[in-house]
Amino acid sequence: MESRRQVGERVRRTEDARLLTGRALFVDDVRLDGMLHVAFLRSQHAHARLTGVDATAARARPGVVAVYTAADLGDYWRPGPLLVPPPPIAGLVFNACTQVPLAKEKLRHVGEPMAMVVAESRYLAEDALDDIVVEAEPLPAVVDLEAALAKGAPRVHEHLPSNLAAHAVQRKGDYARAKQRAHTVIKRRFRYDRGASAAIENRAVAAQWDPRAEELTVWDTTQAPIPIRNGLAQLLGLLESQVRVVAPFVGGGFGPKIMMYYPEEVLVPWAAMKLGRPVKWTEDRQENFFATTQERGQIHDAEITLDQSGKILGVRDVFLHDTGAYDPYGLTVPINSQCTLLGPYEIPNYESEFTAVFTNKTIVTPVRGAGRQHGVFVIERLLDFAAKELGIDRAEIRRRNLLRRDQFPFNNEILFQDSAPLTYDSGDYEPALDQALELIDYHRFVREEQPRLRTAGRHVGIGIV
Amino acid sequence: MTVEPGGRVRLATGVGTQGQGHFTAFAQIVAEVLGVDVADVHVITGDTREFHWGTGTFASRGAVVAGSACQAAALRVREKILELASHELEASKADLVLAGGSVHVRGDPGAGITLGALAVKANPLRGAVRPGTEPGLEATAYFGPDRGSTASGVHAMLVEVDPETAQVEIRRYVVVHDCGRVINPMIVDGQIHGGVAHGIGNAFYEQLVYDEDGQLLNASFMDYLLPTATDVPRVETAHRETPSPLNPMGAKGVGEAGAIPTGALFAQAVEDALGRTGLEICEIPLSPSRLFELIEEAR
Repeated sequence: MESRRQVGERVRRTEDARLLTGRALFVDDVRLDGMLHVAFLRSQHAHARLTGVDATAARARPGVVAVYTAADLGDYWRPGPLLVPPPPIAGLVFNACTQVPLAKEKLRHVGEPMAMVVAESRYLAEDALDDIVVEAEPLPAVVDLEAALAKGAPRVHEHLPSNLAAHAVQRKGDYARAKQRAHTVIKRRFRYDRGASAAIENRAVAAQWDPRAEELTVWDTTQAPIPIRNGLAQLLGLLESQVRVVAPFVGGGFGPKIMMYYPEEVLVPWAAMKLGRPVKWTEDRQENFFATTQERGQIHDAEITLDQSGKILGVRDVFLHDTGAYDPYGLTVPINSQCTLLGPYEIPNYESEFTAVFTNKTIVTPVRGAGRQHGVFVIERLLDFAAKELGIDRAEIRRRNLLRRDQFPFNNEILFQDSAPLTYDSGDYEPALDQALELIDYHRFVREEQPRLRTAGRHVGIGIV
Repeated sequence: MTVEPGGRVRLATGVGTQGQGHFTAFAQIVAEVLGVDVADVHVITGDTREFHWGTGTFASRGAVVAGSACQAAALRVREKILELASHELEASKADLVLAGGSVHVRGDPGAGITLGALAVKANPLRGAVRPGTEPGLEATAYFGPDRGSTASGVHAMLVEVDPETAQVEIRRYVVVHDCGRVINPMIVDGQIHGGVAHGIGNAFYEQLVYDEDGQLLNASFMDYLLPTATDVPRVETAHRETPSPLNPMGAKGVGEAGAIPTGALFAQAVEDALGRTGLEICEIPLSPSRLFELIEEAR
């Protein structure tokens, strides 16, 4: 006799009682004796040469315990790690430029931290930000992706010859040949712009050094406490067993709280050790808009070729990807876009080329979907336009191109971001399409309901992807 | 994973939690294998003191990776329970049943032994560890799949658009999704609902607007439009299960799924609603004002 079935049941969430009654621990709930509070002085410029940060007056303000600039960090100042090295795509160009704890000679996006004030309260710390004198010479900002690659464009990273962060081409089959056989070719330009992850809880870090036990405890809103523990141990010269990282309840992650080694994440524990007192920083919402990573800026020039029946012969896509001021997360996002464009369809010939571009904007790392949205948007829109052109129903053109159940595992040949060929393990797509059509009553809507509503002057539409 | 002398099961995992329902889903996996109540599985996440290895929660990997490791640990603990209980109850393992937090011989539920009592017996403080055995009803297990499993789904939507104001009302939103074996349909529904809400924001409300000097113009919730409860419709979901062969549970990821196709769907449905030749939506995010411009351009 087997145990009672539990997997598959609608069991009520056991954590909710704690969450709903306010008894769950979040990082900002951590309050310790003698705790100090942090505010960061952040760049107002998107792009500038930083020539001086004078914290003399801030240090003299009552209640201020310490002010750190890049110069005060000594050996601790070093760029963050490259979190995800790119996969071995032939001919790949990748320029790694990871974020720094405090800006030293150059400011590369609005919100980039330049100085850290540690004070007896957050109020005092924020007041002291006004005492810091910054000398910066503004430079023209790199914002538009195409202008960023133009000859003579200002460079985000001056040691590189251009703002090109990466370039990759992946191919499957022979697109050019497929195009020769095409009945229909459709080409469009697609734009996908940035949004915020907008988690309900902003980031926060609290740290306490216990000199008797020689142990560092860090409470962090990270999605990846173990990598952060390992990284901090290495940075601070401690054993991994001397560092405890606790990610308690976290109010939404969505990607930007992955193992970033954000400046704040690296500096707060360091300051706690240096000062021998607990230190806490909680991001406010405005900081979150500038200092927490974002996603989704891409421009695609995409082309689909089909035969008369609506079967896809091939797709060619060339796109620009905005990686922001630094690229610590490698190429996860643009490679996801490149791979996910193939979707649930059989696309025998595919050519995809992307250029990742440095801009003077907040760093781009995965946000829920991690680049997949763009690929899906491009292929689904191309199919919509193809359906219109060929006079085929939108659902039908999809059905004709879906992978069949007996085609799995299905190898899409191009490399995925995990460095292995993009292979779908299993799936059964057509019944899912049928079920969705049935649930939304697609055919009846298109045949009867929509014409009736149109006559009544109402604009009601249906979508299926 | 450890069965404690009180009979409760302590489970620690390297992943952190940001609201996904890990405490419940992982407990369900363990409860099923050990025949205990979900409430008796105490889950600890995100504390490096409690678990040494792992990466974290992202890429829709919690259920697939940590969930499979939880199941593997539970199966090992189950084996230890059966081994010890077989000795205690003088019965063959094949005849033992785990249910209600106890082990008993099939057909004789009255004469069982609780997991707590077995845990006490497995504790070497109370007696020598027999050669070839380990103390404690505990196990540590890991899981690493060959590669990611591929979830899939179909989204459908009915929208009404007012062509004069570009106001969009979502009248129905249907998601048929397949994330392989579903551990908890309610949690999966929640993941889908949250994802769709994110997707709707991404499609029609949320856009970070930078000016030519690289200044972000809408860095507050006064200016950055988030969808609210009144903008997000009831999402009707249907679960399909095509188990993944890449992990023992057949699970596939779901955390990101809801957010991914929404932009494409929104563009198609809005275009269909307006029914204007010449109107092609090739950009996301839209906004009420941007849609208004596109409608005007197509007039």
